[in-house]
Amino acid sequence: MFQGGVAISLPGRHAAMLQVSGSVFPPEELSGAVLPPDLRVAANLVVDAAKAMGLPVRFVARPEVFTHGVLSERLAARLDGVRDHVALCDGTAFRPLPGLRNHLFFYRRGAADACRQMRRLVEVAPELFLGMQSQVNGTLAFRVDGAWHRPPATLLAFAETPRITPASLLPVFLHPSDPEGSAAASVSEEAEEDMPALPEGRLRYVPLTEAILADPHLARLLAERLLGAMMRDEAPLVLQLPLLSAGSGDIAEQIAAVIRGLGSTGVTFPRHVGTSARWATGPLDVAMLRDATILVHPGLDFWRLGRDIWRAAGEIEMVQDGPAGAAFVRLFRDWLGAEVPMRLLHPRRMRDHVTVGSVL
Amino acid sequence: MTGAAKPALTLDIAPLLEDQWTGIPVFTRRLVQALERSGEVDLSFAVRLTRIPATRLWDTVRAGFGTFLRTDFEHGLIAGLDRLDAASPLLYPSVKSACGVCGAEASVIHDVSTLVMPETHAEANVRYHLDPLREQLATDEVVFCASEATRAALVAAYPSASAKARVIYQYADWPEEFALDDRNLPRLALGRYAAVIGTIEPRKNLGLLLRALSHPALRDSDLRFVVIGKKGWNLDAALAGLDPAQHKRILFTDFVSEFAKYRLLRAAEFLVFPSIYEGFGIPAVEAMHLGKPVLAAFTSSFPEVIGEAGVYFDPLSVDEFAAAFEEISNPARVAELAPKAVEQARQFNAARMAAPVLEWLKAR
Repeated sequence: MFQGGVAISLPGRHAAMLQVSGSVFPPEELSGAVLPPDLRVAANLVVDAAKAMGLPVRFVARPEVFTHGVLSERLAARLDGVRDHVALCDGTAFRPLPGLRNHLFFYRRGAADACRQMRRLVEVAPELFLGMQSQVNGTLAFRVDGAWHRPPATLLAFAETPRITPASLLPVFLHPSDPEGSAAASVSEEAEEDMPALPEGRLRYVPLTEAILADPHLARLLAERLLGAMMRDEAPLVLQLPLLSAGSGDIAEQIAAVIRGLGSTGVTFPRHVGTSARWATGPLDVAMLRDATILVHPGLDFWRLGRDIWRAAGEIEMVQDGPAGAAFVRLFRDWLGAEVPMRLLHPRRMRDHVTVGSVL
Repeated sequence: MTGAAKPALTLDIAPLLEDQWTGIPVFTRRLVQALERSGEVDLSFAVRLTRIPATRLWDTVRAGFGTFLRTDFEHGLIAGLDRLDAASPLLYPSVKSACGVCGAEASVIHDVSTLVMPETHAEANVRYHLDPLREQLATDEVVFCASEATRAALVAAYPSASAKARVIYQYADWPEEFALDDRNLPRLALGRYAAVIGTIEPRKNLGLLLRALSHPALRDSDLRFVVIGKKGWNLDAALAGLDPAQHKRILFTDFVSEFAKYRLLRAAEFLVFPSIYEGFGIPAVEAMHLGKPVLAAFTSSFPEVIGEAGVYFDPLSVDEFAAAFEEISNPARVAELAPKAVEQARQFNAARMAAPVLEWLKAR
């Protein structure tokens, strides 16, 4: 997969904030840096993979510095035998390093705005991606001069899910007309104290992202499932709150964003707390997920959950709408590499469609 | 009997409509003058696909700003406007305003910072440069790049442009009267200082200099830093971390005239150019033209532009910056580098700027 060592570069807007010893620096210097959680987890994934292979790791703060000639030579000297470069890409720029095998790691498939930026970048500079060696956990495909290209995937996974803090379960209040008030009610101490125990049954677990909430068909499906959990005491449903691109990491903000997403589906929700539904502030413990059903959507940065969680699951529901969804399903199956029962979901097809031609 | 006819070229001079000429307008003015001086091309000029009389162009070049030309153009007050000759090659000194209009087109790529450092640009600027770039490259017969570094970066992103990408170097051309005017004025009372060109913005990397002020090599030096140029974004935030003594070490001029810039560079010990990325770096050539060596980041175009007239540092390393500063602060080292600076600046001249354009035209 990697040879001689791995160079990792960060997106420019985060590299600009760093105060490091130089353009090439060791991973230890990142430990005290302020980085968004998704970027830090992505960096850790690559660092862990390299270390597991016994390879040295260096970070390159600004790949654009090393354009050619003596600059490339200086970089090669400082990288000392490193052959591979993983560019952690937020969708705004992909900066390969000359002379190295470049791997793209678009680590923000869960952010709808980042996906839009990535699509735009590929549109304005498709050739930029032609020379890349592989894409880490990615499904990028693009067309240049009439030919389709899908760089091979490099599959990286955590053995154990990284956790910054233990996940909390919070009660679900859901008043679509008052997302902030609902969120405040969910995070209040009293609400947590009064929370009834989850009923028995196979847990349904949905790790959410902004990209998932932006899919209107899936949002509708989730809203209906949430309604069922609140009204009919169906099997327990836990929605893991999404990281927000523009957010501060505040839990109430995350809940409000989910309520806005689900509220926009038009589904009516009761004004009482749902006994079978919970918000989760982070990845659940493996013990809780044993035999659970986990829902996976192409807008999920699935690699942020370790194989411990996925292999503990009793069933995985895979959302597969359209050709991009099919590519994602293949990638996820390959990445998981284990026999966990999978069921394909097609939320778009689950709605009754009206064909306009038959109405007119 | 007459000699062979000169090749014709239409030059888009839209950048010269700007009120204040810095960056691309100055590049355009130098390109116009370099080609005219070569005497080897039959030049005509256009703005937005409209041919304008040469007299208006030369009046504007003499004035040194584009306000009158722009106002007259926009209000239809220029006599003799005509459709440009689509059979004549058309050269844009920057982004093309239209693609595929003439039989042969060329344009100039100054840098690819909107592609590799979009976070340092406004979204509108990124779109302005990147959205038309593929079509621009596809319809260009030749793509001129401001340096070998820019060429390398462009070809890395667009390998299909490799065969048509050529380097065009610009040059510094201080007006001759500046030297005389400077001698007739009192000396600047700023003490010993290093000039710094650039605004406070991430790409210009002035933050490195600010951080380095607490390093013993800079703290114990008597040199001040005079930052020449418009104050950019986040200036107050960048300066908030400085103590009063450090504040006194830095002077910001804000926007200054070319003559004021000349005086400030001429009186400086050396130039500090800490940018993380540059497509060319004309301020370095302007300083070297005045015999000033450059304390430069080891990045992108600087090694080819500054050559042996600089002392280099890693643009992210305070320690390397401080060590390089210590070296270049030594008057003996400056004396050693000064003639190299003049020699290096001489490498960039009008004839060299015109050469790749003439080569293109003659090969057609």
